[in-house]
Amino acid sequence: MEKMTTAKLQNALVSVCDAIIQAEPMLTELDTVIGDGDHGIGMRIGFSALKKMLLEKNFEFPYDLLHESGMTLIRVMGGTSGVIFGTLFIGGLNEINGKRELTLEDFSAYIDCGTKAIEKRGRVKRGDKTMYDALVEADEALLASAAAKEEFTAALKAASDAAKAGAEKTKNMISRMGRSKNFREKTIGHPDSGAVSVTIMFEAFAESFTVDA
Amino acid sequence: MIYSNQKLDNKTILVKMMDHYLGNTDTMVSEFIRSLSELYPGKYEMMDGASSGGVLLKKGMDTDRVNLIVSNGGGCHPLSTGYVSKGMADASVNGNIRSAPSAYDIYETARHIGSQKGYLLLYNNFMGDYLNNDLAAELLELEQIESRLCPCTDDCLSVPKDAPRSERTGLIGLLYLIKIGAACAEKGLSLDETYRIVAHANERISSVTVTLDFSKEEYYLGSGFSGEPPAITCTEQFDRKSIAASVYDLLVQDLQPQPEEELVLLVSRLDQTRCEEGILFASELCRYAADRHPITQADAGYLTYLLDSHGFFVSVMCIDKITAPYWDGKRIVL
Repeated sequence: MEKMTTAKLQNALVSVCDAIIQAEPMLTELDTVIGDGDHGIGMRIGFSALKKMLLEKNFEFPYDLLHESGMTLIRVMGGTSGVIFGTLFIGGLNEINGKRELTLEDFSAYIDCGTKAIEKRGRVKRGDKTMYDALVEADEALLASAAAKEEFTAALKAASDAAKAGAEKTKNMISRMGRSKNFREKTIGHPDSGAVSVTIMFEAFAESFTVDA
Repeated sequence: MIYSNQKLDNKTILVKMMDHYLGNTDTMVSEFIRSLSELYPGKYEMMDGASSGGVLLKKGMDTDRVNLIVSNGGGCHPLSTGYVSKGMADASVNGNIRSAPSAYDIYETARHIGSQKGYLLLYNNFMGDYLNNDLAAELLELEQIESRLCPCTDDCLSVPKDAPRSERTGLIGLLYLIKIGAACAEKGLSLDETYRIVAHANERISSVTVTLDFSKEEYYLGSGFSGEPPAITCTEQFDRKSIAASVYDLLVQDLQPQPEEELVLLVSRLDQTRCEEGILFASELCRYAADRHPITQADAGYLTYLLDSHGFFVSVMCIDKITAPYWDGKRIVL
């Protein structure tokens, strides 16, 4: 059974940072149409700091790597995204405590708890037109892959596709959270920028595994 | 770009303007706070090590009482950097431009102050501000440091009419909450008592944004801080008296003042509106209001910005027996 090492995870996170930093103009544009335009800037600031940390430090355990990553985002980003994306990293840490390598079952449980932590902290649910709509699809795809005992590469590809489908669905939703809720029906036709960020993250993460595999 | 005719959103214009003056959008908030503390060393100091925007502290604050920390997105001066002074907040925690500060900065500010009686965390009720203050309170609780969240929810048109008040976002009523909270703290009230009174005051404030379009002779009610579209378009009677009456009626209908309550009025002009216009509008509003309710105080000023807009933020607060001991306004007779 394939396992995710700390080093592999760290490399994949650097790829995620690069993808988010590169996407800043696109994310800003999306958020400007139906929000207050700060999503791309906030994500670029947070993931630039995260990349710097990842390139400077080494970790023995996935727990420490992911804890430090989440705290970096919470410390530096601010805004809604800082807490929410930080919570994605730290919300499921108990699931991987003490493990040197992660099985797909460990990783999917970690993402599942992170997703539930976001649900609780952000008081968000499916259909609110937020990053959660993409994340919950990826989460469910990962859980299904783990139950089917798939390999990491296939599971991450499925999660990435599911996130993309979830973000696409947000186009047809009316925003119910954050600044964009004030745009009411005008939000229809535009995807949520946070959901697009989740897609970019899962896509970069999955691609990194495909290259490394 | 800023001098071209290209239509840009408010935030992009703001960032470009600030970039023009300050040079770097990522550091402009901290540079601004550093400049304030350098210009007024007797009043302010800047907290070192903030990671999102910057933190402005009141110099020589009393920590043997409840301390008030107000937080908001950066680049909104005088919100809330201008609200740090005697009788106001003890610290202003600012995020990056128009983005809530990090929970970590709010938490670190509290630890830096070292209050003996705990912290009232005040903010306008936007999602980012709520999430970061909520997390900061959790981090403080882990260290047995007491704090209470006190969101300002005064924007009466920020949610549909039937939505609960707790879902509203905040506008300029935050200033009232800070003043009442500071008065409670200065009188030595506990954190729980201070919270109770400030939370009650919040329930009795209603505010709205009024934007004016002189070319169309229309005005709009309920535009958001970041260019969110208004809830109401008014195409009739584009004169000061009628606008003041319709704004006042809207806010009073929302608040339903009780016979024992007295009202406080506040007008904050928007960026394109001259100081004189603010005074004239506040006076018109006050005249209309005084015929209907007892008015304790009315003010006009500039409390924060709505870029590239003519108009006002208007706020009404009802003072009752709970809040009156912490408000020192005098009855206006017109």
